[in-house]
Amino acid sequence: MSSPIPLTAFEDRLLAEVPDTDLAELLRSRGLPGRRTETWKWSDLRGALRDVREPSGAYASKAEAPITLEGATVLTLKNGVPQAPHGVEPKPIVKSGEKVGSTYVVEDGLVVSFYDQGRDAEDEIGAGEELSALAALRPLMSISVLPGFTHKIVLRRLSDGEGRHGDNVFVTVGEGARATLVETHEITGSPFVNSRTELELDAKSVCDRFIVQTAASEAVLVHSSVLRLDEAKDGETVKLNQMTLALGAQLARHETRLTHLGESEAKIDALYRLSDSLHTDITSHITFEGEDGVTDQLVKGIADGRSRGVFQGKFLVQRGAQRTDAKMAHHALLLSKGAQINAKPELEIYADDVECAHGNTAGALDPEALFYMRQRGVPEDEARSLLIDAFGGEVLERVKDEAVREQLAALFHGGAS
Amino acid sequence: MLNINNLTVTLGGNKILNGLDLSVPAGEVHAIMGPNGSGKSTLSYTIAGRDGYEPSEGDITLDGESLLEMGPDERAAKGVFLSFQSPPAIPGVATMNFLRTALNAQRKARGEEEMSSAEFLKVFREHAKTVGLSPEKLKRPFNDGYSGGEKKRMEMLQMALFEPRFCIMDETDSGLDIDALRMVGEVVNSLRGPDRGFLVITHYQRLLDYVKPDRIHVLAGGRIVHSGGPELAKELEESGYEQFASEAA
Repeated sequence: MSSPIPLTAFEDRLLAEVPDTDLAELLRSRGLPGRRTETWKWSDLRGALRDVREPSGAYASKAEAPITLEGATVLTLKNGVPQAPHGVEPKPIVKSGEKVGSTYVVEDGLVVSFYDQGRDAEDEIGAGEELSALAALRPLMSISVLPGFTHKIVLRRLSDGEGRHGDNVFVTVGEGARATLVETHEITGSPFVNSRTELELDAKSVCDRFIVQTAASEAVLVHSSVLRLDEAKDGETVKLNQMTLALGAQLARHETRLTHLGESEAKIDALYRLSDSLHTDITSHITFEGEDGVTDQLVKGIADGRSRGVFQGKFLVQRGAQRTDAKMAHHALLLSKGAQINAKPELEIYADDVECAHGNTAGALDPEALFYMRQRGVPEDEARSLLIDAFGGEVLERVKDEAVREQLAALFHGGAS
Repeated sequence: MLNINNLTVTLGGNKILNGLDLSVPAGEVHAIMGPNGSGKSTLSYTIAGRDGYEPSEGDITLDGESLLEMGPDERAAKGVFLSFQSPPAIPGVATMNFLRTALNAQRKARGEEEMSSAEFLKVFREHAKTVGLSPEKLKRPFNDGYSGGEKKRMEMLQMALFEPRFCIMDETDSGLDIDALRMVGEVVNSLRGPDRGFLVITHYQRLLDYVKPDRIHVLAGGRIVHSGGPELAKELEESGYEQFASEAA
């Protein structure tokens, strides 16, 4: 381990609030992850958080949901604070005679619980995962879709101000259940938001997950997702279709850590669109622990102005994870000379009977197609816009729900404007 | 109609067009023939206004108005249409959406009323039938998975659809079988009229069996070195460009 570095005032402040565990030790020795951390070298969180930020006050803004889902239960976090579901009476959660939280049966088969405390996620602290562990210390909000039920949930994360807050959400989709989970980040102002979603998919369950982050030019956002996919049962596999639409922030990192415990299928797609000096980091780390895991990942991004897009994708195929089938592709369009794309695909394979593929490209809009469209009379801006929509369309086409797909397409088309 | 005067275009340090003069009056079809590398495609790109093909000297006017300061889309709205030698595929862009956007952008630029979806569909289907493109093909993204011949049919479909004032056909005949050549002839002949001009760029005489030109020009060394009537095509087919190429020097 490198020798301790001088900590910033903000790091000192954070440390004072963290229990004296491995996480504290880690923060003390190297501070927040940033330029000097291999897995964060293109997303300098430490640099973006030099000034002390006080805990956020009450949320005081109004925001219009960027995406709606018909028939969904809408849950809201305001500056990290879970809001009680409407019209449902809470029941206390009691542990050893003490009330530790409240639980709400929102609908048949959908239970939401708020706990007063989080947990020490020491087991998850590895290289650059301090943010996920820090978020896990927050009071826990749990959402359970009980076995066999089908539910649609929109989880809106509303943030404002200039302070800091975070959240710690745990979602379980029970055996044979089906869930559509839309998570939004709607940020105004310049807060530092540290979110965490832990998602457990039990046997035979299916989950469509959408993460939508609208542009927030002055905010710093880290959203860590920890996903576990159970192995197949009675010949039925767990299926996860995840799609992230990220429109940038001063610094935004959407990190997904997914484990295939055995035979299961995952799509881990993302689309980002950046302008001005916005930043987005799409990082994923997929571990194949058991046999027959399938991941199909398509990430596309567009960077204009002086923006920066980062893609880091890793497949770790453990010994014994035979017949893993893993595909990773990242393609980016650079629309200006000042824009940057950094990409790092990584494969680490310890099993011999696997199929792993990765592809990565970055380039400009096809000048041939652009000229052709203009020759047919389409003005340049419109031709560029059609080509950009077409580029992103390849990812959006993979979204099966038409209503969701259309809303995502409209958000993507609108970009950072 | 189209007048080109002393056109000089340099690409990558090489003078490709070297003081080219050409005049195509309204109502006429002119063919340009010439050896490989003589500047035929450069001429078509320069007229259409492709980036990087800005002339260092000379002028191109359509109906007396210079095209040089206009972008490709403005030239298209003025009625310049280029049938590409190798039309690109544009994955992800729906064919009909693209062409309706293009048609209405041209109309808007000319101050004309936009065409409704229903009207567009009707006209589009008619032309698709004429050029022999199946509705199934047209549901694909633009030129996506099209053969070379199908791409040329799509070019002809657009030429009929846009009803341009001036058509440049850059080696439209290359890679086409007899049936397709006949179709090209039909489209051109149906569009021929007193207000419209054509510049047909070709290597071979065979297209000119279907599209009878009023004049034929030989392009060599970046300029027109010889012009003549339709009979010139046969002469060129028999004795080649050699006799004229020396005139370019």
